[in-house]
Amino acid sequence: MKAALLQALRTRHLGRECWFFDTLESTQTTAADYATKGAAHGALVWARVQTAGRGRMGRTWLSGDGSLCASVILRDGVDAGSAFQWSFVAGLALHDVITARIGPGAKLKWPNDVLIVEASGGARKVAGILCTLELQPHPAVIVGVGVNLGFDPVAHDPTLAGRAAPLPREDAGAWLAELLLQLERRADEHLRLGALHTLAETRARLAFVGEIASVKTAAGELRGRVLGLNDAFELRVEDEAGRAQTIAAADVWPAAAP
Amino acid sequence: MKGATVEEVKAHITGTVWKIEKKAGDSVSEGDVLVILESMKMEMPIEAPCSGKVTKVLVSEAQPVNEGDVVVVID
Repeated sequence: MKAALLQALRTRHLGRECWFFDTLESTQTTAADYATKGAAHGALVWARVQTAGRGRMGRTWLSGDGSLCASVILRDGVDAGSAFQWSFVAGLALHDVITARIGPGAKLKWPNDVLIVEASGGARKVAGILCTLELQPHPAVIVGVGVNLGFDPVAHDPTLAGRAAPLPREDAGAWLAELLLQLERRADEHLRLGALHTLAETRARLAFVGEIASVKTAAGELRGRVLGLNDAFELRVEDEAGRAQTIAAADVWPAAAP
Repeated sequence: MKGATVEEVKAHITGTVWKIEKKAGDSVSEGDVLVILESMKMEMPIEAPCSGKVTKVLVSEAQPVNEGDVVVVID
């Protein structure tokens, strides 16, 4: 698998240093450890199988045969104050690769999951990102990516029915090479054109805008119409009383019919 | 208590407390991770700005915090 990646790799930096594991608990945990030990910009941790994949807030990221599980270390241009913007840069790169393969049905679920939106209005997640900022010895953002290449999470967790789906199975090495290329390109654009460019690109691909959504935050659930993103990349939602709310952390899905 | 300083460590972003790494009574060194916040699918550490002893942890895991909220006090 590593040979397939290296053969397909067209990046300047990303993935040029690569640690490949057949089985690993979590590429994100391992990459974060390597980052604190000084691993270079672009260093990649990739596993054929993850046994304890991580989602946000300690959730489990399900993976299995065919899944792409990888984490890449970004250092160039990273500072603590604006680190969260890399979460959106990564989402755009993931969206680019999926759109090139399946066409225009892919959308970004704020902040950076990629969904396939169906004609019925349903939406199912096919790939996700978790980022980790490490400050020592120098700031680094670790971008962890999970892609359901031929892997159907619903078969392992029926509660995900209607919320998750597989992408067509294909060679994970070639897929990862393309993702690293698009991530490098998006990172270059972010540094050259600025955060407002990344924001505009994200707005253009954002799911559920104008629709009624269920927004689950640590404080509870808000039901309202998605207005879009403000200039701080936060979600704006109009609640049922007509007040605009600003959301910094939440899980957003189409609201079930009342 | 002459010469003692109290350092209020604040959240640098609005988000959710994902993990608390130190508890009241723990000794910490400058740079140690006190709390990890999550915002916009990014896990971000709050580090100790100085060495000392944690006297208060003012947040709990899964609690929402605003930028500028005091999360930990170091003496």
